[in-house]
Amino acid sequence: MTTVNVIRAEWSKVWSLRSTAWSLLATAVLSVAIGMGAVFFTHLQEGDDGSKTNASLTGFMIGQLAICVLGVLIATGEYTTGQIRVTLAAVPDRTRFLLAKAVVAATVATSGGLVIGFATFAAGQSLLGRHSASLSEPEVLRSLIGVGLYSGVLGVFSMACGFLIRHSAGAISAVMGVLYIGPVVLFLLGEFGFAVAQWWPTGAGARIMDPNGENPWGGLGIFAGWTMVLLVAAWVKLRRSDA
Amino acid sequence: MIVADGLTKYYGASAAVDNLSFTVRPGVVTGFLGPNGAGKSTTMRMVLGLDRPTGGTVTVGGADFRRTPAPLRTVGAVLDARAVHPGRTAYKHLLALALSNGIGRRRVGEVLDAVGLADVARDRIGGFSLGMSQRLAIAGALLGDPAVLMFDEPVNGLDPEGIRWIRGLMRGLAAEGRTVFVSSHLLTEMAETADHLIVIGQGRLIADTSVAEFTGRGSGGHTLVRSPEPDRLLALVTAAGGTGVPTPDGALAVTGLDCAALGDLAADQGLRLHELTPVRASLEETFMELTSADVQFRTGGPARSDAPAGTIELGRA
Repeated sequence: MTTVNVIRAEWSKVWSLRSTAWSLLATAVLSVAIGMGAVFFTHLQEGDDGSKTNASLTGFMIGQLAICVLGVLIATGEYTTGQIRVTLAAVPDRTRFLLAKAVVAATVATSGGLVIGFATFAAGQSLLGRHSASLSEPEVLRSLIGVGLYSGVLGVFSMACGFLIRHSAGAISAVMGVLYIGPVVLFLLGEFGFAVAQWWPTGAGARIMDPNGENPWGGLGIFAGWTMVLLVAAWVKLRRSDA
Repeated sequence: MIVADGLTKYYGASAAVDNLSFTVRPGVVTGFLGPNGAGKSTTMRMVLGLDRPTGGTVTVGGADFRRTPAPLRTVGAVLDARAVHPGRTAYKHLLALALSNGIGRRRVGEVLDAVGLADVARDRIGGFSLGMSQRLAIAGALLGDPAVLMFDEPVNGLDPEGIRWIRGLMRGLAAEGRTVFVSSHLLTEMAETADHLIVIGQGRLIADTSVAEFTGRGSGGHTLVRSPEPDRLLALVTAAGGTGVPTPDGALAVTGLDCAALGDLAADQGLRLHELTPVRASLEETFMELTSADVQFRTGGPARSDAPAGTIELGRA
């Protein structure tokens, strides 16, 4: 048994469930539709390329929920069904198992995010005709690739939450709390909240998707750091507890 | 070969498995017998490294299963057949298992054929009956052509034809020199399938013995004697030092004298006999007797004068 074997097995598992393709499709449709709406209603002809790109990506703020669900289900799908015992009887090396799951979650979410990023950009900018933002603008290109990278990290982040909580609804709620509720609470806290928000996992991570974002790579690094912490916690729990 | 040495598992303060030592040998079907909640499934999960023992060790082929380089080629296990993701097809479920251990796709088709699921290979598992799920789980256990096979209550949900099939399968696997370890709370099932028995109650070892020897343990049975002169028969038996208890249908259940002694006695006294049948204690009776004794011992209660549940009462057996 090699790690490559286990990755191939987990890759096959993720695509043999209908929910994978459906959640990616849902993310894409939601993101493109909302992005087009945002571009259409905000009359951005005179704006800079960054604002135009951001308008296109508005929908992804909602659509990313499907990435969370995908990441969470990669973990909790094992526990809620009891499949985990069959899986670990075939792959008793839990470190290898978790690594394979993380690689698959990252790969699926990153490639999904890349496709969605470029698709929403193309669809949104098509509404602007000759005023559309240009891909040759480095920060625009970086933010579209950033959608893929952010998605990849979010996928692993969600998966780690799934391994820690082991229940789909609970884990999805937890990730949604981080994504949507945390930033609102921080906003209400004023100055202090603003300082914390710079280090908030998804808040910091999202800067990679904003052409006008400050320190985008640092932000992605913060998100990746938080994700590593969760992943290590998930690893410790997985190794210590009974399946 | 599976070797457990002082295997112990606590959940909180209560012991599910308590200082259990046994060896499961290749070439025979070893039954793992005990009432529900005796710790059979917990033991099997510890063999597979799914649950971590509180104390003691268990090895498969001399090694800790968690460090086995080729898990599915080492142990094939059927645990809870329903515990699989219902959204995958039978083929995809097995394919993922095969891929994880570097086993080829062709083998997936082979095991699907072997368990009779080839026709539903592309159907989702969620729609399977319990019997089909059992067959799928067995297919998964066979994937790696392993030297050790474990079955946790495999006949649950199977129809009579399926039960016959799995008995034949287990015997065939043992005949090929594999180690076959099968749990059940059904004693009659074990009598049909197993050569050797490991019996546990409340997580502790009660017996580690052959089926034949196990059945011979306990009360050892009695002899059923029928005569047209039952009163005289009873008097003769009592006089000869035996104990006789009349059965409802007019026969006499005798202990203390075996068939030969009873036949000689009848011939010497000129008593006509219409029936002389040795009745061995059934596996069920022996088992109930041993486990109820175990319960009594563990609860530390005083020995009761009335017979514990399941003890053979002459005349009723």
